[in-house]
Amino acid sequence: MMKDEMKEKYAEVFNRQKNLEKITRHQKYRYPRQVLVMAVLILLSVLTIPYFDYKKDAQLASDEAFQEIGPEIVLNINLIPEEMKMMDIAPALRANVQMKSQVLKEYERNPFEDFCPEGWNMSDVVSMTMIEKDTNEVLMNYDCVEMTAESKSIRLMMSSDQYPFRCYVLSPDEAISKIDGIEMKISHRSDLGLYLCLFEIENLYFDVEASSLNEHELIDFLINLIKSVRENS
Amino acid sequence: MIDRTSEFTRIYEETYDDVLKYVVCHCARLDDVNEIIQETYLAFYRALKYREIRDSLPYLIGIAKNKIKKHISLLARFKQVSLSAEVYDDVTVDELLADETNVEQEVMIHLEAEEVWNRLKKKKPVIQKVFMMYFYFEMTHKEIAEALKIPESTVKTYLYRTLLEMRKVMKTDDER
Repeated sequence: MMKDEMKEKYAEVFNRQKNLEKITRHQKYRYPRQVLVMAVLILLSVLTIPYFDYKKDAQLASDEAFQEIGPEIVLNINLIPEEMKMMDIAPALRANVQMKSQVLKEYERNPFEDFCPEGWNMSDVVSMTMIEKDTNEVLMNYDCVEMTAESKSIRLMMSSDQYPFRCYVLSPDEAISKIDGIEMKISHRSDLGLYLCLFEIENLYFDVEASSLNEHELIDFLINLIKSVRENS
Repeated sequence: MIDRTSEFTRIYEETYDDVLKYVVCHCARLDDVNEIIQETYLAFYRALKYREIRDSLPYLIGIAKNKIKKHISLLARFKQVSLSAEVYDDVTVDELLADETNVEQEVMIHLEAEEVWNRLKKKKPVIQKVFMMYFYFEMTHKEIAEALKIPESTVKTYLYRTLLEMRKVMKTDDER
């Protein structure tokens, strides 16, 4: 019977006896291993002491040139005109594409929580998939989450394939900003209080749409996002 | 005085299946399961040295929860989340189920468990989990859906769609 054979296979792969042996073996050799590690560390410390010049280090610490500097920020913000141009999508493609959405509940904890501003509310993560109707081919897949607080909001879209789809061109200008080493295109529409940011980090493509945030709040959010992605990559 | 090793072994045997089920449900990849299990019980063994633990299973589940979190980096979670939307064509679950018993039998006549396992390893982690819960833990579709927090129809789709794919591959191999 298939079920019995598969059950045996799983029991072989996740073998309780083998796991117990590994746990027991780890316990037996743990203390001698710790003693060995300590001995090596002590030996290394003794051998390298002459190479540390403490006076020089103290001098460097007090030197103003070594004071902590915040992340590099270079802003070149593009202005979004009042009439945003629609993307030049072939009518046939536009008619032949459907969007599917799905709320993702695979994890107990929302992974975007790490850079959600404190005190803000966060929606569920929604996965958006663009499918060509004729061939059922997945053209694009990205995840979307919204963070809100009173009148402010941030919509974050993220994909591992390409930049998430937008129906309109952000801005005709292409000036690039740089925040903490990451190049990004930031566009702004002042009458709507809208910032749009596109950037790539660690092979992930981000599209951030911020509403009613000031420039300082936006930069803080982007710095936290970049730091969080780097720390966890 | 109770020998700590004997006590540990007794608790290990009693709790192994439940801890394994929890780790399988919540880990990112089945490849990490054995390592997480070992780390969990190792931490439990050390804890036994310092305290009396009345309810071993909840304590072990708590340790396992932390070990799982450490195994899943934020980036890994992102990448899994963005690739999780798998789109199937319009064959309904009922149509798949009409062929259910035959699919299982047909697959196993032509494939050994080893081959099914090797093919499963190439599927998404959630599909691998569904298979393990169905075949090893012998859970129902509803129980699997509740454990993995996905719709019951998705569980059935994953299970029978994968088996149908294996049957197609088998037939292609036979024709060569």
